[in-house]
Amino acid sequence: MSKRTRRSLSAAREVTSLVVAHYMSAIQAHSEGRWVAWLTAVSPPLEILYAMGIQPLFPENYACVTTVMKAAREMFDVSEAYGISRDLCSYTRCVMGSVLGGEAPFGGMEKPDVLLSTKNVCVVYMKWWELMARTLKCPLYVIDCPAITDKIEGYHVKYVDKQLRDLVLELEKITGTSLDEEKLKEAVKLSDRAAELWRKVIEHRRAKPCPMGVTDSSAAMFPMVCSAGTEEAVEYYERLLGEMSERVKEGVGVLENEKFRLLLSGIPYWHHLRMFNYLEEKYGAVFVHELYTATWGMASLNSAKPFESVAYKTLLNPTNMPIRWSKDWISGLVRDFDIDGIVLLSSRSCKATSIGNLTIQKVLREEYGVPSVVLEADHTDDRVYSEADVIMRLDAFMEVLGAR
Amino acid sequence: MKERITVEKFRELFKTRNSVAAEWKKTGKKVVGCISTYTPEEIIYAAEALPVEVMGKAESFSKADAYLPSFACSFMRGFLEVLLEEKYGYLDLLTLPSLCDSMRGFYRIWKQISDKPYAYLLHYPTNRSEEASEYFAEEVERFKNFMEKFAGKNVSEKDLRDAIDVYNENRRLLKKLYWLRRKESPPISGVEALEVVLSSMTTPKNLHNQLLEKLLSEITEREDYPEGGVRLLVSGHIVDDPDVLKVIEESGGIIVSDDLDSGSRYFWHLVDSEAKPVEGISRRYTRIPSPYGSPIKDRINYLKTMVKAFQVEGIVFLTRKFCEPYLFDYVTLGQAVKEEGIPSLYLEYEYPLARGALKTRVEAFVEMLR
Repeated sequence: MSKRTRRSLSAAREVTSLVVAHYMSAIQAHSEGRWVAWLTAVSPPLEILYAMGIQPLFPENYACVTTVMKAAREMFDVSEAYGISRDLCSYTRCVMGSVLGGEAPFGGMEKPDVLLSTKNVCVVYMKWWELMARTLKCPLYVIDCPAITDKIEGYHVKYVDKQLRDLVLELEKITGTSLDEEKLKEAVKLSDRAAELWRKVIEHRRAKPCPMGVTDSSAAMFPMVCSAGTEEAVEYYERLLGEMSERVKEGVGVLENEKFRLLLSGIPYWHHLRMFNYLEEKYGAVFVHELYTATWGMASLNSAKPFESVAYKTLLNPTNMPIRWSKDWISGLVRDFDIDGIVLLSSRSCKATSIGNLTIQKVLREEYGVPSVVLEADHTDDRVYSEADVIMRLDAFMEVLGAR
Repeated sequence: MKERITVEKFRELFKTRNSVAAEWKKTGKKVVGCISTYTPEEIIYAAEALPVEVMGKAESFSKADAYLPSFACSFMRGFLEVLLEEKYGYLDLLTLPSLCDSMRGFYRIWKQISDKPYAYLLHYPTNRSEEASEYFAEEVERFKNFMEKFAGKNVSEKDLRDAIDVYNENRRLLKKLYWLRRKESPPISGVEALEVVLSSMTTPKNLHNQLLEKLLSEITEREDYPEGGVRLLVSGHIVDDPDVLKVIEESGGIIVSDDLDSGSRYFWHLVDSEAKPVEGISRRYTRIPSPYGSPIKDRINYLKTMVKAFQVEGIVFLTRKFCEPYLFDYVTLGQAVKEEGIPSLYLEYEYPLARGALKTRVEAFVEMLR
């Protein structure tokens, strides 16, 4: 058994209050006569919204909060009764439950004035947002993002850039507020700074022992998702980085006796985060990197070219890139973070993040000799989670790692 | 039944599509697998290659299971299975539009596994804006450049115009055939209509056009017309096995029209032959009312138009398990048709078909409509 040496990072513990503040800020925005937008969570053009004083909210984050608060099942009942198939995205089913009047945490999210979707992760984003637009009778804008087959080309960026400019025109029209280009540049600068700090935080986890595990990391990504483009996010990551540097300097890790260094792929099963504690405590295995949390903040932004930068950022995300790109990324991480094994979380209702897992596993084994395990459950719907099965697979996997 | 010979011919063409493609290859020309309804086939035709719809019917997934999880749709799993079994050995190229997450995922996986056939991803835009259609025009242009190199054939503007004419002709003829189904006793069944469309997706277009002309000139009443049947429209994705519709027609339904990827949606809209070829093509393909990009109101309107034009009494929504775009759209479409007072039935199916269970449900639906 490995003992955990420290409590969570204090910056990670702070997140609970940040989450509450985030949901309150939408109520605040409405009371000030500002607009509220519901956005897809993976690298949307957040900077534009902050520059225009539009408050963003993130249904995916809300689904995650609902799940952690054990309120998701009731939401599923409501949306499934409405005709939303159980085979569809469980985030969608969870959020639609609250949209359709289920008794959700905080009484549901503050209602949006506008909906904004980006097709950079999945086609489901577009279908889900369309369903919300119809139910909430709200205007919807979809930023179309071509899937990258080789590398991000100028014409991809130009296409998204053009759509972002059109979006601004539309938002200006419906909100009656115009975009101040200087404010946009400032937001892009802040977003870039937050991203840079977040990347540094991630880099610090190369240290042995690793100063931050997956539980803290999944909490600490919250400001990257919701507040990139604000001063608060920059300040938050400065604090977090300070704490991380301190731990590295003092040689303090998540575990007293770190035996295995793991990498996580996929969305955490929010209803069973204790799965991570199990690995830490029983095997001394710590997650030192997650592809999921590193999805935010990948791109550097140039505030002199705000639209182009934001367009590039929107396109650059792992599920929008070819497997070859993921392969290079993962193999680099295995080397730099000294990874012993990889846990790939498949989610039955999230094809975009799961469909390639078996193939990636095969490639990792055959080309790089990296052991990995693919689990199959659902990120939000715990009705398809079998703890016994997960534990059995993890035990078998750890046995393999132990024998190496 | 002498007059049905031509109808039978389409069935045969579809059933023997592999040898049709093999025959084509003997001339030294390429065969391109594609998702026909969303691939600008005119470009492939103009490069003197044969576009063929790929189908994903398999009853076991022993090879595909190594790459695709059980919750990927069975269309993609089935297609991967037949590819891995090398039953599609004649394909020189595979063109996939980025329609859904399963298809995008499939493309990524195939690129990792093999380059035979070489896979080409075509970005299918999400929006129905002028901008999206401009971007798709660029995408079509890039595809044209690729095809020229791939097939070793320079594609001139005239080649494109000829291709558009041949394809528009096919669309006009198919539409004419569909219009005959507005009659009180349609001269062809839903199964037969599907076979005609599916064979259009796998047969050289000039030959298909000739056969369609022949069919239209000699078609008469069906001798086996089922009395007391209820007029139905089927709505859904690619139905690649006519047996699915057969189950419906054996249960008292008369399929008079459809809203299928392998049905009216494949040919209902024509390319504007006055426009610049690539632009005309782009506009045509980004106008198809589908779950892959259109605002859902376009789909609702299309359904309503079809229901009215073909005096439809009930709609059957057909969905294959795990097919996300259609599952999403059904939530809204089901409600929309209900508001219009159009009865509908939701049928989810998988291969092998659970014929008994499907029949019971359709029979109950038909009974209710009688």
